[in-house]
Amino acid sequence: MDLLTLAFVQRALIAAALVGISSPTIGTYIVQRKLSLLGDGLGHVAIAGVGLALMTGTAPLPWAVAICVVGAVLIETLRQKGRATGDIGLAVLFYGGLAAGGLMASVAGQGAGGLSSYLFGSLNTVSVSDLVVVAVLSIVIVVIAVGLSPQLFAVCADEGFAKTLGLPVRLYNYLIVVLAAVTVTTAMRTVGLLLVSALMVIPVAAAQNVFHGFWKGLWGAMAIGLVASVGGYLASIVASLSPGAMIVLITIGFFVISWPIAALLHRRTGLREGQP
Amino acid sequence: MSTLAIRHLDVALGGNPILTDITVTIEPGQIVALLGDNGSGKSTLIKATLGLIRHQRGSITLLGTPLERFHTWNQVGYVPQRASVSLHSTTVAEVVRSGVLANRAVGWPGKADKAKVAWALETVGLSELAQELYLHLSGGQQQRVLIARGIVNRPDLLIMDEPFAGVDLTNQTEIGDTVAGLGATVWVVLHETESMAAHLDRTLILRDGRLIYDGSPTSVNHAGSHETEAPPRTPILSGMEPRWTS
Repeated sequence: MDLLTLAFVQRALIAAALVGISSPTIGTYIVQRKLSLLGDGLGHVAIAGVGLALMTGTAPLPWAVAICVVGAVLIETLRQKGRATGDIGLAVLFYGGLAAGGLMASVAGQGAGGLSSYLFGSLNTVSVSDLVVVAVLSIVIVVIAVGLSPQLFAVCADEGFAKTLGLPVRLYNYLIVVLAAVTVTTAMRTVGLLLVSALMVIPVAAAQNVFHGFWKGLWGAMAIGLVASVGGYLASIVASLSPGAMIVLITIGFFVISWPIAALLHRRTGLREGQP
Repeated sequence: MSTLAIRHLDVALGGNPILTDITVTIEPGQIVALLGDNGSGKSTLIKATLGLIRHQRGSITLLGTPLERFHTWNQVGYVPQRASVSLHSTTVAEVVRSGVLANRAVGWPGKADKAKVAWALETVGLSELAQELYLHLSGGQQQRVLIARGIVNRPDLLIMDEPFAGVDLTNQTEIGDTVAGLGATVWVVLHETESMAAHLDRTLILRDGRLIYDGSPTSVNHAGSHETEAPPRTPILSGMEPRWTS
């Protein structure tokens, strides 16, 4: 318990909680659009931003956000114009971002080692200014993703039908990928850029196994992300292990146990309804 | 004022002409079937009418307003052949509720919208399945959910693209009766007219992207040939040269 009185632990817990809630929130739409690996691709793009920050000696987070947003807008533009399939677009993001980031880190004289705290997270080194940026961005993500959830759901569920409702479908599609890009970069200090996609996707998959319906799944995913992030961080400091890896493994644990829970719930529902 | 007016419409996809010089006018309250073989351009015409596909020439007017300036989408209902993407882990009520968002770029559905959803589900006979997952339903039930989503705003114009795919004939007739009872102008793509035969005012037939028939309701057999019920001005289309109608 003494650990909880330490300022760096408190900052890390708050950052983990914020990212744990915001990542599955936008992840719900990414999963619904069958773009589960988009977060992974955007994570690789963000590496270019970190490399640029190392090269210029500036703060990594603003660069990572800016470059990741540009990458997200580019890939969505290509998708909407039908000039690249999702797969090709993601491949360009993966390798271009990773190579550029590694190259710029080398120019900065830090090599791949300089990137490692961003690739795998570094919760214990979250500064006050980092926390402020993560808090502001996380709140913006959650407010928009929940506030516009009926419209974003309609666009992700059936884009053609959403157009016939007069909804600004193109704008919302851009909004979703931009929010995903911002989510990826805010999560780079917690679980890291290589593992962030797990926190966006796996809580959603676990929640969809257990909860019935889109909105219950959305709230459930946020709850699972929160518990996994906070629990994972606490477990990591007790066991002196990597926080990012621990958070992701606990998230996967939630996914694994969601299967028997779902089976049990379905069985009970069936019994209640008089089904065999 | 016509509910729908299409004038000299040309649509090409990837440089290939799909629709050529289509002119259709549908008056208020009419129930009109659109028939044609696979690949004749029926779905393209429906999508172009709704602005989902761009047209290269001609004009489309919905409820008196050119498509380019049309905004009152709550007055138009659309039932696609099938939901085009992901309705994973989504309840029936949630699918139908998405239909009430017409013209609402922000904001959550309210109490009045709940009542609309309940009415639409009751209309298609799925009230008891409101909280069931959409993907757990049979193909016919899923199609009825999409019909409920299309009618949830009680539209003035209802456009349906083969809404009865996967629905058995008894239910087709029941749903057809229900749709006809809404009092809306209905434009429906059908493979067979049997389900709505009692309600049709007109039939349009497309062949190779051209409108070859516009007149009294016609029955269509499985082979895609069109046989007349013998009103005086209805041509026998099977095996004959296409005729233009005005």
